[in-house]
Amino acid sequence: MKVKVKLYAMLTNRTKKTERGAPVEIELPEGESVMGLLNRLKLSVDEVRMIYVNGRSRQLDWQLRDGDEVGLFPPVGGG
Amino acid sequence: MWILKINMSDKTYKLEDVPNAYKNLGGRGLTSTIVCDEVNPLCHPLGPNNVLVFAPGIVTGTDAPTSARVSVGAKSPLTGGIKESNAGTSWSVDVARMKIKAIVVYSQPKEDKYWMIHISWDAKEERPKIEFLPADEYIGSDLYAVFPKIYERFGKGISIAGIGVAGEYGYANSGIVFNDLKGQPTRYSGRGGLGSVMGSKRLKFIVTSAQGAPEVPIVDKALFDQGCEKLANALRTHDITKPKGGLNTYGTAVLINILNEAGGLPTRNFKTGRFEGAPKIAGEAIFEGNKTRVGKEVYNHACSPGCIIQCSNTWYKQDGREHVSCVEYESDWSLGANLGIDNLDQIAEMVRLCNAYGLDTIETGGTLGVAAEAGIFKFGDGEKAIELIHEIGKGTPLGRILGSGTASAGRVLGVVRIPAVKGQGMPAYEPRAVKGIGVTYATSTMGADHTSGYTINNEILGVGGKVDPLSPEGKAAISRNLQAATAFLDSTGHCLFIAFAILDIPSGFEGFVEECNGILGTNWTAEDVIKIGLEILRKERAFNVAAGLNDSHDRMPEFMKYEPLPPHNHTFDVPDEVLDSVLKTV
Repeated sequence: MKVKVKLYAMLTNRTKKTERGAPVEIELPEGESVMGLLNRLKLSVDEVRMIYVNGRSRQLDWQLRDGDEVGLFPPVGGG
Repeated sequence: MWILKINMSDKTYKLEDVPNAYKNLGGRGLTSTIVCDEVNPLCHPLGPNNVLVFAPGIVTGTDAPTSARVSVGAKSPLTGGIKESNAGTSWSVDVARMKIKAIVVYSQPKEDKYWMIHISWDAKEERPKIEFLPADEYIGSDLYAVFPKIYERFGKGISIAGIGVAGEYGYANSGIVFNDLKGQPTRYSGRGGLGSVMGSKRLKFIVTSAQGAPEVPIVDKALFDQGCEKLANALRTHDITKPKGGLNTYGTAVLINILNEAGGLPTRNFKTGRFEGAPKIAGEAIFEGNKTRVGKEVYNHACSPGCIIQCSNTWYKQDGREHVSCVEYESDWSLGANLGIDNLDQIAEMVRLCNAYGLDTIETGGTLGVAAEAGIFKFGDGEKAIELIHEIGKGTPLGRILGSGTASAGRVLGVVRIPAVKGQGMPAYEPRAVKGIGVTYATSTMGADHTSGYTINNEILGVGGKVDPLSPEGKAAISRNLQAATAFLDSTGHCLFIAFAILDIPSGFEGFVEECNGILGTNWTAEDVIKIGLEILRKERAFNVAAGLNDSHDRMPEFMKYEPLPPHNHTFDVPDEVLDSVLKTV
């Protein structure tokens, strides 16, 4: 299956595969979890604080589906 | 310590000892208490019976990290209720060091002349010296032109509080401006129209010179130092607040992409929760844009002395010269996504104009949003939006309507979709996609105010625990606790952003309380933080009720209850009884 991944803020510096926030298509085995996606991107759990799948906040064990859009953010905040 | 009472009707002052009842108060706790004690809730906010109160926080002026906030309070011309709006600036440090716990400004002169007050430290008398000086020469001008004249007149070591033309015109959208560390007019107690209250008293500036002033008195120095260290360590360690962390690198505008991803970035006057131009105006784009224009990575700076977080950004022009500081998330959103504008240069120019004229950026963007909805200009037309802010600054008839704020301008222009509560325009979080912040908007004593109970921590950022932003469940309790803790935090003089660190790092929270105990000689615990915060909220709410604001004002705008918001297509579905359970019984 294929999912689109968007990396934001400092996370982009870690992969060098993508521009900030630009969706990149990634091929994953059927039923892969968000955790599996992070492993594939060589991102550690500590680096990722916010996980969005199709605009909904999800956890590491969330199972991805074909066509999902995933947004990943490091610990950041503002106001 | 003193309370400095200024009477503008005859230009006299009194330095009074701090009454016992005020001894342990500071910042918001003190401004709100004085407003409750001294202001008839039914008075006209711009009439002679409103009072304007300035108060540094409990720890302001000391070595406590990130603590140079000043609270300003009065009855608000925007909401008709009580108002506290705070800013970070060296001005609050000056006032605290001159042992002034609060400045209370009463009445108005009979003649239509403006005045300024100069407060300096008289080392011989060991007390502040107060002078009244004519200020008519500074009226009607761009604050970026006026501030350098004040520095030239009084010397570089001064700090300034004041108003721009928005306050002179009596706009319900007018802030009180303070200097930043470069001496520019950029730090605002923006919300609630307090600039026009200062203007109604014909007070243009309060200039402070604290040279030679003593240290702020500290009852238990060892405990205070221990608290400072614990808090500083937490701020230096937490990913959001540490040097080169999220806030120092990307500024508050890092939230643009996050809220957009969550479907909660209000776009084109709250029509949708996603803006296609978000990546172009986000904190990441500001960082990258500056890198290209300046030729190196630019990290952010402090708005005030002693800040560890340093989140204030600067946007640079094509040629590498400074355009404006600071493009905050709120301003970036209100003048960007909310108006369908994805051009950072245009957004920066609008922020600069708000600073120059003395306007609140949130209220300005909210007002232009309803103006676009009414067809005054087209969403996305940045040039026209800039022209309209000039009209506000020039005081043309249309400009005066727009200067009245989101709710009033929306009514005049026949708009149904007015995103405001208690007359105050909503900030940058869509309550239909982030339900807890809607609970805060509805119930806050301040009108729609994100800072007064920042549930975004839990709902979006995963700070202090994580909850689903789209669910209405449990949001009343989260909002109430945060509103109480914030009322206390706003009293300490700390910046609200220390919350990111102290909600996640227990020793940071301990240090925060120990600092206050060290200064005051109190024995406050974490429980007292909530208790003291609730007491402040109780007073503020009682003022509002006496001013005529009842349960029916603790509500979301009607359109948010029947109009689903894309992309999640939720309405605001927190029941009215739940809203009534938040603060009514505190």
